[in-house]
Amino acid sequence: MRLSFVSKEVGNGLRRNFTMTVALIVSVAVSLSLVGAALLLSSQVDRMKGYWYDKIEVSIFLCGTSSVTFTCTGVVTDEQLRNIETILGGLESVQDIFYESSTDAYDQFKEQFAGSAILANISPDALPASFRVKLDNPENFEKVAGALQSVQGVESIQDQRKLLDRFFQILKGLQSFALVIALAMLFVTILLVMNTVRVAAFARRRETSIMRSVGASNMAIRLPFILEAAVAATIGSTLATAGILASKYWLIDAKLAPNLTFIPFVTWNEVLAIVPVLYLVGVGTTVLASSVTLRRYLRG
Amino acid sequence: MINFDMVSKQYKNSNTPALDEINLNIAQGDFVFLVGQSGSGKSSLLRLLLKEEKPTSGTVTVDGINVGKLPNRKVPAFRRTMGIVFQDFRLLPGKTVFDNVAFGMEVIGKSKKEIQQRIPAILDLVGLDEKAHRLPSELSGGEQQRVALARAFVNKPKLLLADEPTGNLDPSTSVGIMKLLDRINRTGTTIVMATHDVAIVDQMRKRIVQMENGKIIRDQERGMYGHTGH
Repeated sequence: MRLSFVSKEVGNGLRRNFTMTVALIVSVAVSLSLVGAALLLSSQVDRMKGYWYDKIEVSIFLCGTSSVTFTCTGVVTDEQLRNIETILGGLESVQDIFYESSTDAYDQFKEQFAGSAILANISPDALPASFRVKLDNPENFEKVAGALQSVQGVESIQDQRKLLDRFFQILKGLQSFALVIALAMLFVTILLVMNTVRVAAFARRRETSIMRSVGASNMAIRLPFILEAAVAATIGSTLATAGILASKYWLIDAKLAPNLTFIPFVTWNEVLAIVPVLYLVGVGTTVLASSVTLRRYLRG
Repeated sequence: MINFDMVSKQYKNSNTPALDEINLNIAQGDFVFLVGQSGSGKSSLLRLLLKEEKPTSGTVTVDGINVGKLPNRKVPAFRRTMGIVFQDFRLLPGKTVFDNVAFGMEVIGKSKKEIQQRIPAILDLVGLDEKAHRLPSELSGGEQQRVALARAFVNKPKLLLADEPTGNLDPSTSVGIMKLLDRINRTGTTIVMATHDVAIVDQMRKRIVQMENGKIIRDQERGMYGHTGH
């Protein structure tokens, strides 16, 4: 069949079946937007993990004036300090050690809460001194904790990864939620494709019966229906892509990134990498669903 | 051209066979009327020729091809060697006369050039060259059947099957259609026409194959509907 003839037939088919076509386009657009959102969220989590795990430190807070744990007998002494430093230096997984004195901590606190009323209630010696330890691998936290847990002068050991992991768990939950809804929507889309194609095949049974009787190939009979579904899916995929790109441009880049400077957001490359996946999923599912349906309804 | 050798067709939900050990031979260029009451097996015979059904037993051969054994993927190519017209014309209401005929060529991949060349000639043959750009709804029944005939014949088939082509037409219009079929037959095209139309059959004096209860009860050259010739 010639291309011009096929495209004319496809155009006619889409116009005649207008409401179903619109329903199909919207359904594809919504389900793919969700698929896209799930994928974006996944690369967002990866990106944040990479960025933050790299910066993760273990904080070893030392005894201060108000410490009450059994390893503390007042403010940490110089001897205890040197002892702790020696232990840390002997641990294999420790990469870097920074010492933050009480005064340093207070200076940083002042900077962070400049202009806030909290500042007036905090005295310099209320903030404990600490060692900030960077590990070769954040997983090795337990080793450090084990070595220092009951050492005199150590008040508490904090693993920043624990705080992050809770946060990532929430993101992961969101991601699975988006994925489940996306899959449900894809399922609905598949059903819609099947129904649309069935209605179209029924509406054009006269055409298809003529085609069969003059000896048109099965491919020639089915192709217009498959192409119609594919065209609708392409429009739907394009809408979903536009939505994803728009949310990167107007939401992430314009609103979130300038205000949440401590969060690394997905880059354009990562967003653009999702686009072919969306088209593939959108057009692929519809073509597959329509082919299967036609096999059943245009037998002969 | 066409050969039925001990062909039977038994449908699943029926007690009696639709065709019962049919033997029939039709030569290239023949014009055959297939007559008999509804349910006598005419339609089943045509369906076997089109490979819409497979014979339960026996072999159907068309132009050297064993139709019952023809694999599905070869059916389209096989159908291109034949033309079919129906009682209800089966035209596309949204397409003009020209486009209806062109549709039959488009869907089997004929070139635009071929279509432009062939259709005026075929419309001239069926006497509709003046009405090429009318819609089917603007035509009489006879004219619509001419369009259907043009579509069936446009790809120059060796065999034309006609299932009650005059069933929806008045007698005078039917005569015109029969003249046209006769003309097509004289180009060497084999024609098998299933019909109830006594007047037409008697007038044409062609070969008659009469069926009853799935059997051929008469096969007569230059026959008439009601007369057995004895």
